[in-house]
Amino acid sequence: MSDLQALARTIYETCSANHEKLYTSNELLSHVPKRDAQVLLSTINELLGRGYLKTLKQGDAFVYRFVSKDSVDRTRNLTPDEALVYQHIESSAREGIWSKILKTRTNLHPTVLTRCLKTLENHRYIKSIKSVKYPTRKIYMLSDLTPTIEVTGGPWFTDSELDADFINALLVAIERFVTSRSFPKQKPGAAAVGVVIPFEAGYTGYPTLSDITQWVKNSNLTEVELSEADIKALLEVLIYDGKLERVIGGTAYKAVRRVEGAVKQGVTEAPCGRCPVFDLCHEDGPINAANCVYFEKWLAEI
Amino acid sequence: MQQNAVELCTILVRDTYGELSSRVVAALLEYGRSTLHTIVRRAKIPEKVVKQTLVVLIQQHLVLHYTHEDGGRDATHYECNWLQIYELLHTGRIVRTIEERFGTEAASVVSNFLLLGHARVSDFITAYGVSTKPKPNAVLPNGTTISASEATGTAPITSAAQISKHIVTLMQEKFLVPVQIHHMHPQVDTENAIRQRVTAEQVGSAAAMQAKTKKAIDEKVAEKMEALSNDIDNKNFGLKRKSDQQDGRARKRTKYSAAQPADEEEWEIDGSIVLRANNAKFLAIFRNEELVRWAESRIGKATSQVYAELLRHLEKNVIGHRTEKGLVDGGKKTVVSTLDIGNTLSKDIDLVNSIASGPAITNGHKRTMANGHLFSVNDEESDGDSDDYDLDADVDDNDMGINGTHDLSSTAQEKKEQLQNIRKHLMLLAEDPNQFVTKQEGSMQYGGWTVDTQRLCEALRIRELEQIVEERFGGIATRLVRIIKDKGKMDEKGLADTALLRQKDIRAHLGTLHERGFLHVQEVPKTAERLPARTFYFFYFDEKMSKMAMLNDFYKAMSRIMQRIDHERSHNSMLLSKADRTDVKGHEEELLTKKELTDLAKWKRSEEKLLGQLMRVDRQVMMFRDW
Repeated sequence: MSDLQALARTIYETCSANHEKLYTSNELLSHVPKRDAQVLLSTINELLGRGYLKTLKQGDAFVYRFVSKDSVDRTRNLTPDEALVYQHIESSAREGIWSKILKTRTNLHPTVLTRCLKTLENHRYIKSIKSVKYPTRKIYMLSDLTPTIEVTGGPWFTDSELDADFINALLVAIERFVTSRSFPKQKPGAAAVGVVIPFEAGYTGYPTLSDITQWVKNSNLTEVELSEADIKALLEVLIYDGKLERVIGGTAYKAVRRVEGAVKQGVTEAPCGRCPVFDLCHEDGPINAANCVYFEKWLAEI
Repeated sequence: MQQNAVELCTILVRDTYGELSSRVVAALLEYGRSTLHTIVRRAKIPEKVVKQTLVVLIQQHLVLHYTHEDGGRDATHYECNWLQIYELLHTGRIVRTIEERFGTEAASVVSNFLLLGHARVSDFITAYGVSTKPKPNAVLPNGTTISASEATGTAPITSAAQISKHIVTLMQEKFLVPVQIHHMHPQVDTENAIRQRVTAEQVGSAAAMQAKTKKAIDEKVAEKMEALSNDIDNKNFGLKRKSDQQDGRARKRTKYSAAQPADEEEWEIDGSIVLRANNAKFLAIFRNEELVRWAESRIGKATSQVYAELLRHLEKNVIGHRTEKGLVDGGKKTVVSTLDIGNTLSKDIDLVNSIASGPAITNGHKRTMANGHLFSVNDEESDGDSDDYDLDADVDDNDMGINGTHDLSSTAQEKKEQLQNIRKHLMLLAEDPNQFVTKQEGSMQYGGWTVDTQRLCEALRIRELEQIVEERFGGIATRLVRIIKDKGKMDEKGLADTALLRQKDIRAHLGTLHERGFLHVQEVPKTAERLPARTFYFFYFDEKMSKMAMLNDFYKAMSRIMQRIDHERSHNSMLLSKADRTDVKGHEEELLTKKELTDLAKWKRSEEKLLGQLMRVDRQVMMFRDW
């Protein structure tokens, strides 16, 4: 700050409160005594030269944006190369920028670029992040920003890894919720305990997508914000798992009835159905039905 | 025909008809259609013996034959009917089904027909009268007196009239069908013969075969083939309708089943017709049993009982033809009304307490389910349905008007309630995502219902396949298979995203599924070089190919089970022959040592377990191949 002249300092202090705002030269002129364009010109030049101001183009006119004191201090100590790299990274904002693109944009020699990135990282001005979409790419962004959802992959990802435990816990919870709403409560003293009876045809009380989303929100299961689309993805998985099914024209969900001791398919229960050497088994071969160890074991467990 | 199926059929024939027959069958299955001399050469058995064996096999419908008459010299070709060989496995199921429905006497009639392959009715009945010693493996040429075996004939059948009564019932229900000459010939030959005749008629002289005439001939051949297989249906329809229109159909009927009505309900059969068990009909029954079980697991016991009743009504009109596409029956066309079901449904089934009426919706927000009205069916009907019930009530009132009583008597009221309850169960079945029944809009009281068995069986197969995948490869693999089936072709990344799983976690599953033939891969290279790294790998599910792979595994598993039984038997042969001795039989406790007794019990348990397993796999084979 001390390097600025009095006028430049006042202008910077009055206007820098809002970093995002763009100023035209006319607006700045009002801060200059006697609206002297010549004085403004020299002041702007001074601010630009020391990095307190940035010029942008809006239509045909030039507009100005004030740079926060922190970033001014940062860039101040950087070499020109580093400053260039820093600028590009800064402009990518929350998306981040891939090192390869950085190289083509800055047109720097790879070793120079790596050195610049290293210094910037050491100063903690930038950080490298991992993208879910391109896990192998090195992507840089300013260290004080949080990456966007596209980069992190949404609620299912923790540290750009799919959080399987989190998903499974949610799946189980949702399944339980839908099941509790899919069948009538057992009548106290009902004749057959454990026999689940269905609702009549045309029953409309099955939970819908918004019901389920609402329930997840209110249940304190997770602090992560889950949208209807996220819940829908979970429900799809449950359907693919054969635990739920769509009813009422696909608008509501219902649990699939489960029966204890129902007739199951047979083939995988016998040794052959899960035999690891099934393809090698042959009547006259070294592996055959007569000397099969799996049959031996299976017949013994009566 | 698959290698494993050949192995299984050979084992089946060996078990039932002995080594000789199995060698002839093996030669036929391995090399296909052959003449007598070729069989002799390949089976390495003297011609006389082969001839005798062929007679048995033809009697049992296991081998088909056809004689070409052109070219001066007659050449007879033999062909193995391997599906019929497979049917040997169903004997137990068939006899049990008949026993459940018609009692032990009818069951013994059917089991004898199964044992004999086919038999002339008069011979069959005489054989029962003079029951001789059982000769199950005896050579029984057509037309000679047939000795009915006592093997299963434990029921005291005394008079010929009794037997013929059973036969008539079984014929009316189409469990027994007349054998026609084309049943003994391979279908291809029958078709070729018809084609030849049709072509001769159509073309007459040596006119050039044009596309148009060819098409016309094709159509005509298909028509005639259809007529052949429809023959049985028609005749049986004739048999049924005979009471009200006697003369019109008499001529046609006399050929095979000249029934002489004593009164409205009683029939007699012509002794000269030849009958056999109708395997296709039984397949349809087994299929329906499976559908009922499925409905039970999805909805509930009472509903499945209603469904069983509905299917039984459908069954009556079904003869069942086996085609390449599976079983063809009239299921889609035949409409069963709720009234029909109500008339025959057992009163013991608790129709009311097996459905919970949903909480009524008032002012747009749902009441909790814990209210006391849950199980009271009568007080809360949803608005949409109440209209229907009003209509029904009107209809019933009219009925009462005819009967002369205007206030509903208690029995009529009960009947009405029962029908409404049945209707509720049927609505449940119709609303299920699998659509067990389809509601038919029509004039029928309380609605009519049809069943699309073909679509249902498709769904049943898929479900079975998924279950197999689940038990063999676990839940994640099932999830993947379902996703792929639903979305078509997908690469690993898309799959991982939809399944909410990590790519590296699903890779192993996809690998094993691909290896066992449940999934298939298509490679799409991004560049011309076809580098593996620059290639998309799309996984897809092909039901037909998976089905074939599964069936192949099933056949192999079944062969192994039967071989294991053989092995266990030979392992215990000393003991078994001792236990089989006439002086030991019945006195096992006294004459066998302690060790022998435990071994015997163990052998029995093993055999039971293996046979039970065989039947369970058989169920799956029917599901994947026949239904």
